[in-house]
Amino acid sequence: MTLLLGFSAVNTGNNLLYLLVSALLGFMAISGLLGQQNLKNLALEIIPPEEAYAGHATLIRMKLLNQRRWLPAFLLRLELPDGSALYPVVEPGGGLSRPLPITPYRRGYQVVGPVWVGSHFPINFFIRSRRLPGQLEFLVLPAPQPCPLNGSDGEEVVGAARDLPHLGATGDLQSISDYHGTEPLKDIHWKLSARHEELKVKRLSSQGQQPVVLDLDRVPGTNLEERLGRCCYLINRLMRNQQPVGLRLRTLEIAPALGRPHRLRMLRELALYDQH
Amino acid sequence: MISIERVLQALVYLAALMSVTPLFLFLDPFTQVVFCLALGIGIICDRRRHYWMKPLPATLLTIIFFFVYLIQISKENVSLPVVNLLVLLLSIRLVSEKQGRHILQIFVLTTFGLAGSTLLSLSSFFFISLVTLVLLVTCGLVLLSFYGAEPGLILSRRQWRLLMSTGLLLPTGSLMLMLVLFLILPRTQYPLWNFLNTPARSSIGFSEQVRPGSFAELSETKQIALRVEMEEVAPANLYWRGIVLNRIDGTIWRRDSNPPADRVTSGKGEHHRQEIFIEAKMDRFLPVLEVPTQVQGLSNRQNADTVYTARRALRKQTHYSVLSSFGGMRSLLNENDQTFYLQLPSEVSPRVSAVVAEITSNSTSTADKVSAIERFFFSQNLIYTSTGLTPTHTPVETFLFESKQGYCEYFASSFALLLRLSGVPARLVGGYMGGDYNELGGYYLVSEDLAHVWVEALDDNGRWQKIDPSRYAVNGETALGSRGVRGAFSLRVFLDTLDYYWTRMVISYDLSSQFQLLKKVGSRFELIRKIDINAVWKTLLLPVLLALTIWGVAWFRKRPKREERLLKDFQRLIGKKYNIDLTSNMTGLFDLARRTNAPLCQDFADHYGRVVYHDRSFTHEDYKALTAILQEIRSQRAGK
Repeated sequence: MTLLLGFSAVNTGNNLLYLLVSALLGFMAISGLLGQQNLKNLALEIIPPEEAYAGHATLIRMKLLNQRRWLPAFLLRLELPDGSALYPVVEPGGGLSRPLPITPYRRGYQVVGPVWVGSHFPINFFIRSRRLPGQLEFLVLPAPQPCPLNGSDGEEVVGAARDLPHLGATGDLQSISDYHGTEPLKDIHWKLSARHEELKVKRLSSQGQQPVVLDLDRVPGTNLEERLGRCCYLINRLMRNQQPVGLRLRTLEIAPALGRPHRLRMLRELALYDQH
Repeated sequence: MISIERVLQALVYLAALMSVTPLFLFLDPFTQVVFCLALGIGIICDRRRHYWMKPLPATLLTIIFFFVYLIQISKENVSLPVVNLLVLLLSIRLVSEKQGRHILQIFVLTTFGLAGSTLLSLSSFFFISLVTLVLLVTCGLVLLSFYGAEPGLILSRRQWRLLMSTGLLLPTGSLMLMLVLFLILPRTQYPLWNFLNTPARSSIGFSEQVRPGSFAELSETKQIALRVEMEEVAPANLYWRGIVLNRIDGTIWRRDSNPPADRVTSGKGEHHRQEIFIEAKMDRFLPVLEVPTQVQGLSNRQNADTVYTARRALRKQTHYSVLSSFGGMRSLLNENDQTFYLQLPSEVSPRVSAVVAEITSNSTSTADKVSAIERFFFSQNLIYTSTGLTPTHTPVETFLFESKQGYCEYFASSFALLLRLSGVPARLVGGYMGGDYNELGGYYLVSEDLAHVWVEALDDNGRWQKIDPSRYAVNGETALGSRGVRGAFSLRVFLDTLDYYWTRMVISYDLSSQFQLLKKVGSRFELIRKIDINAVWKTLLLPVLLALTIWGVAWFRKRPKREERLLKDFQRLIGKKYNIDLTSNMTGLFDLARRTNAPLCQDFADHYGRVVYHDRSFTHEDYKALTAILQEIRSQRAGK
């Protein structure tokens, strides 16, 4: 349009057309400048997902920081292979966080970034883009693969730790033992203590689930990745049922316990198993 | 919370309105009605989100309108069919569904509409339309980019504020750049498509004949003839000489194109430079203030009787500058040529001849004869009027002895005839007399109603003397006295000042103006050359050094760290050597190394990862080790 009007202006010598063409050229220059400035002084803060499993889509939070003092940033779009997010307005000196889908394709440490940010601000004619510096390494857990709990293989897996002591405070009486000074007073068996002239305490069974230790080598599977996936599945499944779970690897054994930190520790060991 | 879409729609209608306003009066009545209806219907349709005009009928209508106006286009009539078509296309777009690309089409049509208006009018209203349209369209395009990214986007008030504060930089910057670019964009001396331009706004100009008695009434129009930028001078000097009529045929005074030559001598009196901006007109005569010694800025020809004519038709507003000497004289070059100015019509009224003989019987010198005729005019109690006159075939006789009423043509032609009858060479001069001085702009505004005819008579010394016989009317001072006064400040004066500057700075800006500007800039550079560089250097040395130091420190602090530089070098090297496209994927360092399947790359990634990603400090040894790996990768490449 500018070319056509410019051609007309030169050939007609019409100064009003010259004014219009000058305005259009000025507009092109300023829009280019604004578009270039829009992508300057941006930074990215990547917040990894708490648990990411290989082959499973998850959300990763990307916080776009505008480090400019005066100029806001507009219409920024962050692109990842699995999706994109739009940041309509990022205030100067501020930031805006958006979740983006991501599907890590293998276990172990994965790197996100550098990420490309694009924008067609101020005019929807061209898209400018630039690479934002910064990478983030986050741990990807093995892809969980369902594994039967009660089948012949499952029995073998879970039964591996059935003989472990599993004492508690609310179940049936399992045995009597000597008092060592650390047991709670309510556990002292007063009648027996009177007979033996020394303090005896009751050992009660736990009302919770039976603890298990998963032995990676004994978990069924055709290859290592399948066994790791099944192991991962079992850890999550059993611990969701409040069953204490332990893990036995070739060079490491983790005692059964409950709690999220414990579960994540086991999963982390599985994720990094046999990696350089 | 305000929706982007709503604001965008409002901008679309305002832009359409602003684009069509300057050309509305030029449109066909049909187009005018269609546009007004489209504006109203479009707003209703947008509110109801239901569009009566479906895509197929819209396309069909577009094609029909296109062909209807296409066949109307001819070399003489290009602009009107085109602008009508543009407005009709705009109307169709307004009443049909508006997706992003349709809105873009509307903005393009509005811009072309405004461009079309330049072919029809050169009014300064264009500037207001242009500024407003730039504001609306640029803001609209910014919002359109938001709309394109997410049509349902709603912004908070704070976000709107941020968007507007930045978005307004676009029109503001564009308009500021416009002013600069307007001055430097290339221009041609003779445009090829001049036929497209606005036709001459004025078609009056000078009459090349004076025919007293032909009209019962003189039409007086306030249409601007010229504006003259100069200092204020005495009203008696405001005679803008345009044309000389030297031959009398019956009762009609005409111009003989080969008159005897005059000689101009500039006197010792005041010299005044005039920058004259003349409106487009049919003839080529250039009015100048008496006595002109120099006419520049426009290709012109000086005729033998020192009448100036432009070499090209004055189709548009034009500028030229004149240097006049108020004390200058104009004389006949050859005394033998006096007879040329003594020619009489074939038939002269005996009554007039008798009167001349009677009143000049005792006069021997030219001055005496002129005085005698003056006295005769006074004695006749002639009245200056431009209305209520009776057309006649004997205008001089009727004017002098019967009606005794007339306007400047009656007075001048009668006086000149009487002079010639008494043996004094005389001629008529057509031009303008007077002008309203605009103090605000520092210029005289000369309108067409100030057109005037007076007489030049040759004295005994062979010099032409200016005589204005209209002043011998009973009401002469009243009728002519108001000419050449300072105009009281009013809205009209203010608007005319704006229009003057518009003409001065925009309309008449051309190739020669560009060269003048270039010369001015050049002279400024001359001034710069004269500046003592050593003194400036001494003054500026310290601030320059300080600024350089600050810049150096800032650069040093902002430069990338060693490890970042190493990573970039690595990525660049890998990209080249293994042909990996690093711009289109988000490959991390380890993945990149894995994809090369090269042990050295893996070594680099491992080492780098151990240091940088595990919060270890990056030591010089790390740097050396990584550099060595890079060097090794490079040398491998060289070996290949």
